[in-house]
Amino acid sequence: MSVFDKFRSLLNSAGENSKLLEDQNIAHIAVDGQVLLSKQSIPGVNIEIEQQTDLTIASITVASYTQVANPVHLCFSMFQPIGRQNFRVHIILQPYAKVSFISHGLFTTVDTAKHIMDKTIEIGEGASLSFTDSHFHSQSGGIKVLSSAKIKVGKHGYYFSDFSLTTGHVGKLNLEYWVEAEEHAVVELTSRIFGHADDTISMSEKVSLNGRFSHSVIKSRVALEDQATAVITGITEGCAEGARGHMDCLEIIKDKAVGQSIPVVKVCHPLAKITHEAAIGTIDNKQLETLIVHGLSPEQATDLIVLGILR
Amino acid sequence: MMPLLEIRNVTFIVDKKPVLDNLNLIIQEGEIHALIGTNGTGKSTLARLVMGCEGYPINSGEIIFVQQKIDQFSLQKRASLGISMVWQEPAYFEGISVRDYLNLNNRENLAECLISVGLNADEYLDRMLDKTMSGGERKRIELASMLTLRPRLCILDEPVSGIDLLSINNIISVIKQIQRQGSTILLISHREEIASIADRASLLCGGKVILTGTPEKVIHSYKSRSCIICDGRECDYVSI
Repeated sequence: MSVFDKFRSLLNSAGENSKLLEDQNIAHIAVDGQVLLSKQSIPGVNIEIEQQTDLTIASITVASYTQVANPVHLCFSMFQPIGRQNFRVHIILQPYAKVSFISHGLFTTVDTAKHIMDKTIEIGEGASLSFTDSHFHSQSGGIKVLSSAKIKVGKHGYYFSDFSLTTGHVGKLNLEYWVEAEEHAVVELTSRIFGHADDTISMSEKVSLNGRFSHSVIKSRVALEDQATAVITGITEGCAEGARGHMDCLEIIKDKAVGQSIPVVKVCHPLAKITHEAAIGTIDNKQLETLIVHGLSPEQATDLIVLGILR
Repeated sequence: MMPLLEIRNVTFIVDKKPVLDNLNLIIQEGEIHALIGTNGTGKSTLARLVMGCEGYPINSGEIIFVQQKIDQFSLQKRASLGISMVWQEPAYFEGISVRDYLNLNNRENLAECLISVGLNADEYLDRMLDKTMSGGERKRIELASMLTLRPRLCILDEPVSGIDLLSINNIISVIKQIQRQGSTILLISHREEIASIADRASLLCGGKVILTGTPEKVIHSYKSRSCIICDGRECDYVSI
């Protein structure tokens, strides 16, 4: 089986239809390790790849006023059990462009590896970007993911991000997002992670609401079992009139897992308002009892509640 | 009719004070039995005791369900015997849709059950049971789940709290529908129009059932007795 065939198989098992890689209307990048397997630009979405010895750089530009019908797919895999993948992505949305990205981290065959992803995203005035980033890991726990992103959202721009890592063992995850929002920009950051065994999760998301009437929500959902640990840091700064931010962190803890939430709220304008809520602990007893009353066992009820928050 | 549920001399103590004090109550199979009383008299506590919720073990007495002593049974065991409950403030769930929730019982008439509680199936089946749902909507979903679950004993704790006034008749018809489907209902409410639909009613005061009879008689007593304001002190003086 060729590497490309293996790649298709992984993509299919992640719930995608690998035929998207042949679709002339879908922009994509497919990379295994540092090897570019495939890339495709489409009208309005230009993709440039620069390959260095141990770094791949992708520059993606979405032209002004382009409304991209199909999501742009960024697919990353590592077939070698031991390896390293170092990627840098620059995404520029010119004014009033609208596009969604679906990124897949397909690491289900990895034993010991490091995946480094460094993103910079510029969202122009009135532009809209939805970025879904789903990781699929092996059961080895030997993968290390270092993912960082710097995002600037222009006036009346919109940025939505959804990071999920709920399949396989996390390994070590270090995720850092920093978003700056200009006037009337809207930012939504969602993350869903399920940690098992000795998984170590460190996530820091910072939103600076610098523009008037800019809004943001940071929503984190984490389930931990065995000896997994998580430190979730949410930082929101409101530094302009009408800036509104909210952070919502929920961590469900089982066994000997340890969860920590660190909300940081900074307000430097009298007409800005930032709120936060965090709940860390075991499964809510009323939820549990309600599901048991409906015929589930305590174990089934727990699984359903955990699946629900990670969905 | 035969007793489905018998509560015999049950006492439940919190912080050395009896919340339920040597309480006796019999629920006949097939009936709607209203339990009325002022706030803090122990109605919801009794519901949780019967259901077997965590933190509600009886201190003395017996709970008999279908001639079987169940007061040491777990909540799961009691649920498996056919006891179910709608909480006064139902739990919310992230990521669980109305369809998922009603499907827990593997029933097929989900849409019909939603229509029965006044909700449009097309609009609600794929909605999440999270906090985007109002208290009234959530309560209706819970009642719909009782229609799908068809428990042998259905405990409804304040089923119209959070329901708008115009919809109360709809909820009353749902309660009657649950009964018609074969469930016995323990209906906890302090609202006269709800309690009046029952076949029988009991008045709870100071942790005791002080009167059982027709809803009219019990509601009349509830409205006229000094126990409404006695805070339990005068309940011993009322004979059953």
